[in-house]
Amino acid sequence: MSQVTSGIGRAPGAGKGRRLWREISNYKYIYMLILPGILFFIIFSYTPMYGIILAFKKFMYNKGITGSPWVGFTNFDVLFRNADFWRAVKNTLIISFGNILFGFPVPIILSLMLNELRSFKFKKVSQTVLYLPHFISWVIMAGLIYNMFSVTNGAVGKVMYSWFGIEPARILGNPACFRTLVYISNIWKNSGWGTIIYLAAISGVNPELYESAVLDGASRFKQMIYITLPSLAFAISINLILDMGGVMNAGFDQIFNLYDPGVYKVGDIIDTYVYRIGIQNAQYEMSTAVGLFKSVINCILLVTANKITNMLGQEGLF
Amino acid sequence: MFQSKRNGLKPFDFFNVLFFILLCFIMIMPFWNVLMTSLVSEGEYFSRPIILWPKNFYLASYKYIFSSDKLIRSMAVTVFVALIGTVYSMVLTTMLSYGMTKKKMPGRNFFLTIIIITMFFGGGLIPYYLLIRNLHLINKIWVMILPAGVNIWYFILVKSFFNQIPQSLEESAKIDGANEITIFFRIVIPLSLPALATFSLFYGVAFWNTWYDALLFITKEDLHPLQLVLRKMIVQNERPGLMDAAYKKVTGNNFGLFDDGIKMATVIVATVPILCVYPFLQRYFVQGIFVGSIKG
Repeated sequence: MSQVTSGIGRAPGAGKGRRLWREISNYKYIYMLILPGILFFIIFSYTPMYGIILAFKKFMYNKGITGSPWVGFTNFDVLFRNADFWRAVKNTLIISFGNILFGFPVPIILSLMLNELRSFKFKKVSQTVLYLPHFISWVIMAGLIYNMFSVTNGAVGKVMYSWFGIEPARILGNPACFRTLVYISNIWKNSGWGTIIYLAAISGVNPELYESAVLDGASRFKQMIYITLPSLAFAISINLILDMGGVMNAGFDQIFNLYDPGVYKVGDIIDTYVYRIGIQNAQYEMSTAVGLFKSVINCILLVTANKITNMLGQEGLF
Repeated sequence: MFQSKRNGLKPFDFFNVLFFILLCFIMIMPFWNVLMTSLVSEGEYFSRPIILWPKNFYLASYKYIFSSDKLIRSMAVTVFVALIGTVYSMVLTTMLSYGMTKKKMPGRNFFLTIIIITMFFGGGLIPYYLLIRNLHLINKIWVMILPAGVNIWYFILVKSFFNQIPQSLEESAKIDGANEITIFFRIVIPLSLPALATFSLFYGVAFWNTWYDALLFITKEDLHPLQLVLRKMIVQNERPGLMDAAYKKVTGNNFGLFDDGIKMATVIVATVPILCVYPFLQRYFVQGIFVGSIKG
């Protein structure tokens, strides 16, 4: 407002330009501070975006991205006829929705139950233990899983055999078990960490609500359902939007460290497919086309999920 | 009042505590199993179905790791990447976050938008690969550091943390003639040290766990980080014993050395530093650094 009034009585064009210039020079030190960060995003996030045009070209190694000839939608044409591509799309969707279906409610339930723990100390210890796996890499996870479930050397197999005389079943590298292994290892690794956002929301609930509920004779279970759970609505909707927006991702690190050619049928996802055809087979333009396909669908999903959340009366992301 | 609450759901309390004890057991068991595997000989490992405590402590697996040139070098690479990477990321992230708290800065919304867009849209693997090639970063240790500069989530969290610093402090410094760069280093940073320590640890853990950029861009084995060497052992099932002279040196008088023991000892070596910084991390993230970000 003050800017507008101070401009009265000057030539509008010149005044505006000079004022903007003065504003900018007021912030010159701030611009210097943000410059490295902005450069970082331009170099490592935006320059690769230019490379997307490769999806519409035939890549020639000696000509680079710019010099390679345009081929229109040929790459997509080839791609959409490829059974491996559709298998990867299918697996990605199944694994993502499986992760949401089985994994999404777990942190919500855990945080409600953590909130009901009476002993502060015990709650703290439980939280510490539950958060821990978030900080280890999927490489280490692969080590833990191997050590538990390997047929010959795994603890589970050895116990089954020597205690119960049961011939251990093959879990690793078995197409029948692979997706279940993905869901469970994902829950094991990430649910504990997922409770943080919900516990933070719970801690913001006005205690008077509980007090008046107790006066009204509400049981603890009823307080949980009618006070605690609704207080999580915002966090739940934000998480759901983010998960929906990430449906095309399905967790590269996890799959890449757990799968092998024997389970491609059920476990090869878009990202691992992009890696294999791009890096291992050097089909640069095809790999880029798959990546672009994925990014576009991702954006559409994110916007849609956000719209739906807004329509349901929850605050969305944007 | 509390009486009625407590009587109402006593069996539930019992069940709840039991549930979390069981859950903690499920969370710890795999780690314990790895630790025990790394501490026994081959004979003991295969003769006992589950090892809760070793009958004989057997440390040859660790002796092997710490006499293998390859593993020691990979640890050195990882430590270098974690230290330098953390400093680099923190410098970029804090300066950017602080700048973005200036709501009236011309172009601020534009900058914020271009940052946020990268969360949802990117060039994909191959354009990224070609970029790294054009930057001549292939087979350079910096390829594990430079592209991992700013984590957008941490940027948002640090920004919302800086927002909580009272404006009046900055304004009075300005009246004394300090410019924003001085204010940033002399006032904002010293006031935020505990939070910045936390984010340093987050970055440190992320750099410690790095393997993917190395897999993509580093063919020179000398520059492979610990996680990538571990990945080759576990995922690609590369036998550690075939790697170097250290194996012979250690096996000379140790018949109990075995692949799984070495692999799991490496897992332990790769996990222990995380366990060491973990208590410090935990202290802060429960204290509500996250709360602010969630609400705004």
